[in-house]
Amino acid sequence: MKELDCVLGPCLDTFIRNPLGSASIALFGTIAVVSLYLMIKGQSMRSRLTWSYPLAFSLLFLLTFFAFSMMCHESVPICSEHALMYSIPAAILGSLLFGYILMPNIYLAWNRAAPSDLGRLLPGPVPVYIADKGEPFAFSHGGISRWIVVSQGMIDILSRKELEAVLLHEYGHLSGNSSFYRISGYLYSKVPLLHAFFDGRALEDEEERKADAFAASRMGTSRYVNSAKRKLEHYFSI
Amino acid sequence: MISKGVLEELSPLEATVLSAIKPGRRMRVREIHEAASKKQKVVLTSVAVMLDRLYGKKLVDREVETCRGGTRYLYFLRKSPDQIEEEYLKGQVDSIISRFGDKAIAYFHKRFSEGKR
Repeated sequence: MKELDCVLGPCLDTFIRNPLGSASIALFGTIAVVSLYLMIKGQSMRSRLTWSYPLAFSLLFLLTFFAFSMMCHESVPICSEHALMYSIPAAILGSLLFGYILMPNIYLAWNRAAPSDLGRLLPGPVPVYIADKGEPFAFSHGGISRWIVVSQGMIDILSRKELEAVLLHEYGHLSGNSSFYRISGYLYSKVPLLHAFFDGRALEDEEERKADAFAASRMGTSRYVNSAKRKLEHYFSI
Repeated sequence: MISKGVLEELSPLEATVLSAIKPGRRMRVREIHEAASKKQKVVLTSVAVMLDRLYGKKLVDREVETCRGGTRYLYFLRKSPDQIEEEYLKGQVDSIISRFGDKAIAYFHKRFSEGKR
């Protein structure tokens, strides 16, 4: 078979000479480089995660488009268009898996997040990791693998009760499936026409209020959630 | 003690926090906060911000200590006050030489041959 004779060099050459191939490399290569730059420069976990999606999508798209193109035969004139059609859903699926499963685990390793026994402060079995960062932050990751990360900088500035309130707040996000709603809200807010019906910020605020209410109800007071928030506001106001 | 010349290069709060760290000691954020509070009224979160900035400027280092009931950062001076001062001076002199080149070297030569301090 012709495609099996196709070694990487000649195939790549054919792919580049194809107008669709070269245009894809130029477009998605640029998107990948820009996304990588913005991901590295990202100030928060949220922005890094956000930019990981276009990065993964553009790389996976090029890879799958190239792979499908390798199977093309000159006698099938619309083969490239078909390859393009198959590549888009494959790249979307791949980038969602990358962003939702792989990227958070890369983030844990990157920040030298170590397992801790802080999970004992929570009502359910959720692993809590401590990130080796001076800047105070905490976030939860839902879905298949559920965990909470809190930075060492956060632990150092909060009292025991305030830390418990923060962990319960994150646990509240997990028990309320916040990440599902937040990701859905975010995706909807980026789709033309649909974004008019989904206010991402309002959804975010609503989820935060629910998590605060959960922590306050478990602790019997909202005092510690509020004082932890005040400390964070002060930290980031300096 | 870290010299005044080095501390003046930092923001007043950074200088207060840096001078609160005792050379050769590993100190918790709360200990540094206590020491800094004796010099000026400062809240714990401000000390934490300053320590993170000083860590970014490579003036202090930190390590995680496991203690009863959790973990905490221990901050310490990355170098002795003398080494910090020497490094600061080296940076300043190198900067002058890189900006003014041979003219700066000639000036230093002239200045020191005159025996002025």
